[in-house]
Amino acid sequence: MPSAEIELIRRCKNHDEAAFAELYQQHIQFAYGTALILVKNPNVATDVCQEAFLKVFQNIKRFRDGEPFRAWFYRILINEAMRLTRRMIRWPIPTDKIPEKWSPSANNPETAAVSKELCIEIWESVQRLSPKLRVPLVLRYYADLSEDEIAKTLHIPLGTVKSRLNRGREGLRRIFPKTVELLGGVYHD
Amino acid sequence: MTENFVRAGLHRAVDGIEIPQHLWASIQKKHVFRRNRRLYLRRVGLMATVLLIAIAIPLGSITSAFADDAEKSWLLRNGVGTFTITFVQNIGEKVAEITPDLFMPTTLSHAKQIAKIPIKLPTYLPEGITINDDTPTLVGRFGSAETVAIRVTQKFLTLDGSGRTISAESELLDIRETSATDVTMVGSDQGYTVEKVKIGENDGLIVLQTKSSLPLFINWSDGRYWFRIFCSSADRDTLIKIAESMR
Repeated sequence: MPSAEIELIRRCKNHDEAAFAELYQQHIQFAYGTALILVKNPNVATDVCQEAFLKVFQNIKRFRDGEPFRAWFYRILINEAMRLTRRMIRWPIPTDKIPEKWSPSANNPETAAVSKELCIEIWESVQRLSPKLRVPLVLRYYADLSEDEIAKTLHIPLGTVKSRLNRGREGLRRIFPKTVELLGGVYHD
Repeated sequence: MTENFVRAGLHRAVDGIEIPQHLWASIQKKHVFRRNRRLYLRRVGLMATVLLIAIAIPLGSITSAFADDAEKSWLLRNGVGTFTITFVQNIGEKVAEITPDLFMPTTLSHAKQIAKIPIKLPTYLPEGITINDDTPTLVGRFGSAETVAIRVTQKFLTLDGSGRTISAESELLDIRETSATDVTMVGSDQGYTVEKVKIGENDGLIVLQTKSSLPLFINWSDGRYWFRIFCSSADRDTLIKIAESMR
């Protein structure tokens, strides 16, 4: 864990309000995106983030120094997302919220090559996976967690994470034929 | 390549959706509210604890006062109805009392038949005191413990405060024997002194009135049963002699 993050968490443990704001700014983008991919509803994703951050602030003293903070934070976030979607309400993908034109950041130049229709199809393909395969896939390819961090987030062995990611990719090939081309392979049923 | 397209697709899908502007303000507001609520509940819990302790302290005092009353009254519990047997365990420090939860007033001959312990009787008694089959005897049970009390009393007529003639009774002899071992300890009683004595080969204790040095009773154990004897007309040596003659 970087020393700046250690210092930030130490300040949070001392109830420094500015440190809470900084922690929020650092993680809200990926946290909101992760929640949105999983629950599909912007309002519910907002509630998930709100509850997750409140729990982080309330229980920050329980966070053990030396552990990866992102793993701890995303465990809370995933739990909240699962808790709020337990009633099996299936919201549609908010296609109207996705902008037609997208200016990719310097960090994600590949996004320029993905049209709105294609990204909706990828999102839908991910949604059709079972939660066991969907969550590691989202944490790996959206939140950019390492396989080791995903193992710690989901309390599963590293080998299981690798296996689920493979099965997730395989699942995408089965679900969506266009994705097969994108993912560079041919699926034989 | 594969991973990059999945990553790009997911980012393209959600990164353009704006995070609600009010989210941080809402989190801050709820954070403050919940923190205050926790503090409030903690304070309420603390107040409840303080209140409980404040109530418990006087309760403790009442218990203590009650115990003091019990301690002072232990020698007054020698009436027929109460049937308390008292032992002095350590000189001036501990007094053990047994109050049977069941007792049966009867005669000595009947008591010999129903008591679960063999009743020992003194072969020596001071002049004027006799024990026979009709002597009033109490058999008491306290759990598994059996206690027997043989009481010789003298009835006489006397005048009360208003000048009326009334029948009165004085106790001449009181012999008690018990198999109890599990006894309730209470504090020592003021106004009495206790001395160690030998009853045959056994150690015993004699309780004396501090002012007059007259014996109140003597108690000892033969290793199996506890005994206590009171004799109104006996001095110290006579009381020991009665105790040693128990067969």
